[in-house]
Amino acid sequence: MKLTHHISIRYIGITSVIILFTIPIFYFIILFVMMNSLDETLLFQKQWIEKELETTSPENFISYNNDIFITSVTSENEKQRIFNQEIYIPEDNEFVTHRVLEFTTAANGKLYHVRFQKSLVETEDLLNSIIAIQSGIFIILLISLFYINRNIKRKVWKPFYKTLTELSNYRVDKQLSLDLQPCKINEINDLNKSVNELTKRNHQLYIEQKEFTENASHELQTPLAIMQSNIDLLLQTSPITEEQALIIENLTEANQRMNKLNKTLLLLTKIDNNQFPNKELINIRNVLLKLLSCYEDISKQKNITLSACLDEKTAIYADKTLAEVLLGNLLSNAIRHTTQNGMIEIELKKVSFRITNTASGKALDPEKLFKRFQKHGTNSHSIGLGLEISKKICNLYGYQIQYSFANNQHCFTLEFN
Amino acid sequence: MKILIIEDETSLSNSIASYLKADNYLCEIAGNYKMALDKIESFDYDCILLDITLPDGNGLNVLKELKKSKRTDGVIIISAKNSVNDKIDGLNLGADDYISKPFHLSELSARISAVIRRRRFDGSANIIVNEITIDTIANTIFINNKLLDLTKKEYDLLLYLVINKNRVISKSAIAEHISGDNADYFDNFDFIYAHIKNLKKKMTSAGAADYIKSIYGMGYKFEVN
Repeated sequence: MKLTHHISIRYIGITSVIILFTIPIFYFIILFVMMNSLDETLLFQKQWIEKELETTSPENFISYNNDIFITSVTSENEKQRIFNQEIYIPEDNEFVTHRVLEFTTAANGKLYHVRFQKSLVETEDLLNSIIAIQSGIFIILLISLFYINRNIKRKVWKPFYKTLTELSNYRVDKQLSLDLQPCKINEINDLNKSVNELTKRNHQLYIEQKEFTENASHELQTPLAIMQSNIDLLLQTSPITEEQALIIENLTEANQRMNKLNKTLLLLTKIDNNQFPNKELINIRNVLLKLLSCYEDISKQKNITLSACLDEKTAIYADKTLAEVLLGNLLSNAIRHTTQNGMIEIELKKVSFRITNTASGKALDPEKLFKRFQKHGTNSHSIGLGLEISKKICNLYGYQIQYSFANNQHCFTLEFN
Repeated sequence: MKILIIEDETSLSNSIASYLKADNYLCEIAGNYKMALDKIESFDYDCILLDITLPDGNGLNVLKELKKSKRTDGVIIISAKNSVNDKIDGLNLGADDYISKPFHLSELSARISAVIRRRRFDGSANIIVNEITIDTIANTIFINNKLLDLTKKEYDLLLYLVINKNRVISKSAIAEHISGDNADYFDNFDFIYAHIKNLKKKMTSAGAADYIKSIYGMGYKFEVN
């Protein structure tokens, strides 16, 4: 729900409650005021009647609507009283509430009982008018709220929505920082300032981290080279016992893995830094055939049945190294994870590449599959960066990479575009 | 044969020198850019190993100096950067080869040997070990003057072993050599055993002695007295 809507709904709710409450309050206040003035008029009239009775006989009293009744009485039986009474009006054929004043007065030595009345029909009309006016106000309020909201959203919230759009489009690896312009509203100015600084700081951190990985990998190359050459020299010393040979072999292996890990990390940073700008047209079939001949030894050793159906014309526009890494990773993964005597099927179509291999276990978790250092199975030699690199290369060139599992077979599909 | 090692890491340059000395190479070491320039001004070398990142200058400038004075010393660039651009720049400036850190000493030795063979003026590119003759131009091997039928990988393997004769070469070095960069993807070098077995069989049945020895499973050695 939008903030403006959220506020409006509350605003309208409170307004309606207030208006509903004010209708009876208004009614009673106005009724009270009216009654007061009516009673005052009646009392005023009473004085006038008392004065008239001194000079005129009651029979000659003429009044509008014949609403003054004067009768002679013998005793002063009651005091003056004012009250409401329903009285039938034959002309309208209905009962109408009247305000009635009764009193006894003496004139020319005679006692008279006087009663006169005034119709209260206006009060009902008054109530209706109040409701009508209040409803009118309510409707005007709603309409103006709607317009105010629209206006607010269009003008007042505009810088906020701009900030929001810019922020959701922000990529820490692409932009230095957001450059949001100041505006009239203080809160939005503060927000923009914070966002500008936050993005700037984030980008700075991102760059530092990237540089660190790159520098660390480069700096590691030399000590790795020293270790490698010294192991090679150690191999030449004699005599070497079988025990020493085993230690040297373990050292070689660890060094090899470290080397591989470092190379892969370097490759990852290079892809991140977009250091592969040279694109060329690459025939995928040729790359695959070259890779297949490289893996011939290892797939023979595992007695893997390999079937390939390769379109001759499929070509992509990419960096050659990256294309080889992408396909090489998928191929070597397939070979690595295929069981002894298993099967690998490769299919290259015009815009897609599919590689299927016999699985030794269950399906891989597609959520974690392309994440860094996710190792599948117990193969300690796997460094767990291959698929992340493949994914990165796909992202770079806009290819789709997908994993599926069916009939105890892992299947990776690449879609070029 | 004279080799100049231009490398600021003494531990690395010393181990290179120590490995190459056994091949009767005469090694000199230059630890920085200035020393390197002094050395190349005063002497000719058969092969120069050149590290690009030196503390006081860019190694590529050494290469430029060499080309300016029309020198024909073979140059192999050693780089920690493993960057395609460095490689292209170096080769364009006239380097003969490029090897990225870390590397196996046996691989370096094979590259040096190839550079020196290519630069020999008498055109003789044959390597002869007793009854074995390797023609490195035609990529063929003769045993007792009879052509030995080998696959490309077996040829590469035998040449590699012969160049590093009497040295133990680790399995990973062999795998890297015969598979190139793709050896990165392997975690099992057992396939080398199959190649060695085939090679030994072919050689002995052609009448050669059994030169290739396995050293406790950690590597192989071409043993010749």
